Amino acid sequence: MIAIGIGSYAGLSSVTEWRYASTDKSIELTNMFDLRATVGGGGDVPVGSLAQIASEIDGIDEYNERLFLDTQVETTADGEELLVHGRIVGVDTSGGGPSVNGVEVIEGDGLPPSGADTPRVLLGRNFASFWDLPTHGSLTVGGDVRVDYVGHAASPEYFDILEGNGSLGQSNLAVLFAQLADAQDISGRPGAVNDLVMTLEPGADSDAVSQQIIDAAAVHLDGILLEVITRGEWPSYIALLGSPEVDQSIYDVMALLLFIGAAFATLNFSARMVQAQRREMGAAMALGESPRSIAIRPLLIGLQIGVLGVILGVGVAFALAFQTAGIIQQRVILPLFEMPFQWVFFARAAAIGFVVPMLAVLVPVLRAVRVQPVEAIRPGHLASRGGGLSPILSRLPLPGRSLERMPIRNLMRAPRRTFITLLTFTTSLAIMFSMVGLNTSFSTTFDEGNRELQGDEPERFMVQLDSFYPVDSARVQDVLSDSTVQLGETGLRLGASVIAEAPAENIDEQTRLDLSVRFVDFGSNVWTPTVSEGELQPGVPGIVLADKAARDFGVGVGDDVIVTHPEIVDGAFAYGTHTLPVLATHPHPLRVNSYMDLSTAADWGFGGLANIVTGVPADGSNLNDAKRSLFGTGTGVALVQGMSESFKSLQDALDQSRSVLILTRIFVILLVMLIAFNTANINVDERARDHATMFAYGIPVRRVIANLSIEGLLLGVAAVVLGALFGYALLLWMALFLMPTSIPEVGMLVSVRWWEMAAYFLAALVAIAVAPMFSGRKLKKMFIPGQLRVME
Amino acid sequence: MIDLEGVTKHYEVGPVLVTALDGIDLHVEAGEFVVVLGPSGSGKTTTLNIIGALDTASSGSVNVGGRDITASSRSDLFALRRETVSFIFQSFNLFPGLTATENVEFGMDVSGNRGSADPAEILESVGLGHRLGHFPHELSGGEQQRVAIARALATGNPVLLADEPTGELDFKTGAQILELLAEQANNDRAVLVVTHNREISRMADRVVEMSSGLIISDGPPEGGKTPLSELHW
Repeated sequence: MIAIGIGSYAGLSSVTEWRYASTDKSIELTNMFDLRATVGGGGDVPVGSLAQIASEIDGIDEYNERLFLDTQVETTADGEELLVHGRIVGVDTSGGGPSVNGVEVIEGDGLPPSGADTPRVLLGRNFASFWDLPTHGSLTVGGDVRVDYVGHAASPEYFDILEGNGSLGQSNLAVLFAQLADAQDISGRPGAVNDLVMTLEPGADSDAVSQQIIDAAAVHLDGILLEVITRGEWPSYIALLGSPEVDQSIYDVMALLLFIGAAFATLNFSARMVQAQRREMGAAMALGESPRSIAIRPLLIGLQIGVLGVILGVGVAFALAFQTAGIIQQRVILPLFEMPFQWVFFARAAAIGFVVPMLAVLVPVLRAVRVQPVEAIRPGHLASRGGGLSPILSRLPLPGRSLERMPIRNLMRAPRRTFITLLTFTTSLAIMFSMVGLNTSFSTTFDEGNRELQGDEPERFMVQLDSFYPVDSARVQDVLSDSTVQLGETGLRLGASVIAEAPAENIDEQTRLDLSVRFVDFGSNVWTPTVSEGELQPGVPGIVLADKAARDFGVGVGDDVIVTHPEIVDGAFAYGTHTLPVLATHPHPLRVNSYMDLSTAADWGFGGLANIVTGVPADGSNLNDAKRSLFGTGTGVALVQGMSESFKSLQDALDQSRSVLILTRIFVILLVMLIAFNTANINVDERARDHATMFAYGIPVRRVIANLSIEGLLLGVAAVVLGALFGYALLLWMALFLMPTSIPEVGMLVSVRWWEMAAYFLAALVAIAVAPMFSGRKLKKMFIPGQLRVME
Repeated sequence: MIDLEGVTKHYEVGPVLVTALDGIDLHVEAGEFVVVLGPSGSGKTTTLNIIGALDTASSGSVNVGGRDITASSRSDLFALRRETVSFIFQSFNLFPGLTATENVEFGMDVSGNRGSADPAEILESVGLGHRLGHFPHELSGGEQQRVAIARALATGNPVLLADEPTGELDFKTGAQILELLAEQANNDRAVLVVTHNREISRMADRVVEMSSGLIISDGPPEGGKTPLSELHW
């Protein structure tokens, strides 16, 4: 038990250190951008235009122009057809580049020169790792273009994939690194770039540089809006830094609980061990041996427990650390992942591992050596004398026959011991409850969120256009009239920065959030957001916020928020600010999702335009048919994605972590079994005379075991109740306090599948009930007369 | 009630074969109060254990309560203990988690004798009517041994086996306990008490004296049966 506590703490904490250190080194190796400027609205500019701007601004150190385009990727993995979102990142490798956001080959060949008949690319390692794809293969991108990939690569923007408000993750975003010329050919944009990544000189003010870039673009790139973000705003980077922190918080709690469980179990064990030696201790005292020297032997046993716990704990730590690190390496692709031995954590865990059993032994030893020798020698001394509450508890009238009452009476006559054993079970079960509950809560959050967006159509999808098009344009109409699409509706999706005009008094700090504002027809019969509070008012300017966003802003229905957003003024993109009332709130767990009525888009200059189309597959078609067909129509379609993928990145992460969760549950079940076995074994040793008396009176061994099992089960049932209560509290803390700190974008829905929990608890109860059976052999082999004559 | 014929018992203690019983014959009838006397290592407790089916003989035949248990199965031995014999131990061996009444009920429950007697009445009969709800640790040694006797009586079994029942008691309390045991023989039970205290043997109907695994004498106590009031130890 000590080993599991030590191992889980040292092992999992080591993983966190490895992640932080490896992330830093990988970012340094690949020289991740400090600023990234992207041409807005799906546009592009001639090669050199962006570089020209960068070269004229002070504070920019290195920079690279790129062309990236969203597309669709089709390939197979293990016979499974994959049709996912793709992104071609065209980079200039001349001179050993790119110097910013380097592309590191993880496996396979380097990026070949451009110009081959079939373009050759490097496949993003995340996608390849998730689907276990080979280093060499081919795939098809939008426009039915065949591309060969010759290796797997990683770049800092994609170390951990978390995009599209979480809808793009490792499983459904295939990044292809290509030569810039190849990317231009594939996209049909010869000589064009649309992206600039930059690093800043030490001391440079990123806000000032950003503004200069935007201003310069306004001057040099007529009508082009550059969207500039910093490294710290990039979702993948946020996840790289934040995710280990959250994981560590959970590890700390789990390890602490395991330690508490282990400490109580050790205390229980050592107290009984000391009690078993009381007569020898009494005899030693009677012979004049000093209490100090008497105490040494049991303390040495405590030391043994500590040493063995630490040694085994190191083994557990390594097993857990390498297993967890392996899983993380499949999800977070770092070109450098170093796993140095973490002395500090191991030393800390080892120190606790020593101290806990030593203290656990010391307390009963001190009690034992404080009594008079004659007391210690006296039969029954230190045996549970029924202090504290036991006189009351023991006199509770119980139904049944004497044998049936025995398990309850045995528990009642030693309330403190029972309580400690109960605590050890309870902490273990609480951990299990919270871990299983957290998993379920994530699933429920995903499912409920997806259901909200799907409405009555599980395959509802969204087509993201590569720019804003008039609703009556051919590109939009092509999508709406596609044979695979029905119930099509046009819409708009814009990014906006939102802040409350006057937040509630309980909000300490005004929160500014970047939200995705989707313009939908509030009068639609096809789909409108579900409303938690307020109402959808077609034609009325106002915003519908997610419940989570409204809570974070500290606003309610009728309050005003200030929205800074892109707008079209005199045919050019600009940023504008509007104050809008909150019309309603909706229950989708992603706080980024907000809605406005489509008819009010004209207020922002987007009247009659669309950049998204939603629909469902036509009868006889499915989502993949729609994806293929829509990409086949030619340019204009950037992304076709099912609404059920809104949490894909989190789902992918959870899928990858599932084995860690399973491992944790196995450890907990193992811990419960160890405690149960230990308790049963101690009970058998301690009650040997009771059992011998029962045998002398003809009670069969199986009945004695049954009584021990019932005693364990009574404790187990109490532990299940308490474990569920504490576990639920732990779950609430993790879901409602810990998670919002680390992934504030998601409003977790706490959920427990009681049948699932019941199954785990039943498994624990079975383990507890079965444990005494392992003592059956010992009971059968008991020399009854020998036990009956023991003068205890 | 008890018939032992040529019973031997050997133990292996490391490479040494120890003979605990060396072919003893013993016959005890219902209603007899027999004391088995002898120093430590004489074989008296081994004899008691074999009669009580706690141990098996190496050779010879053992018949208790009309059952030949010489080669009985494990389950038959358990059944014999439930239905035929009852034990009283030197260190009482009460169940610490059960009250005096519950300890007595235990005797009834295991033998299926529940309902045929009232545990409170049995405790009353051993002078503990006022201690029904007390736990063993709340009772004196004498009281605990009385509860142990009450538990044995509650089984209703015809053979009562007591191993040094006064070993941990003072004279007065021990005498009271012996009186109680002697009374049980009057109730048509076979009562066999093992002791190394020669004085106790004086109040028995019969004294079986053992030494080195052999019965060296078997008959009425020397000088005849003595009333309890005349015993000293």
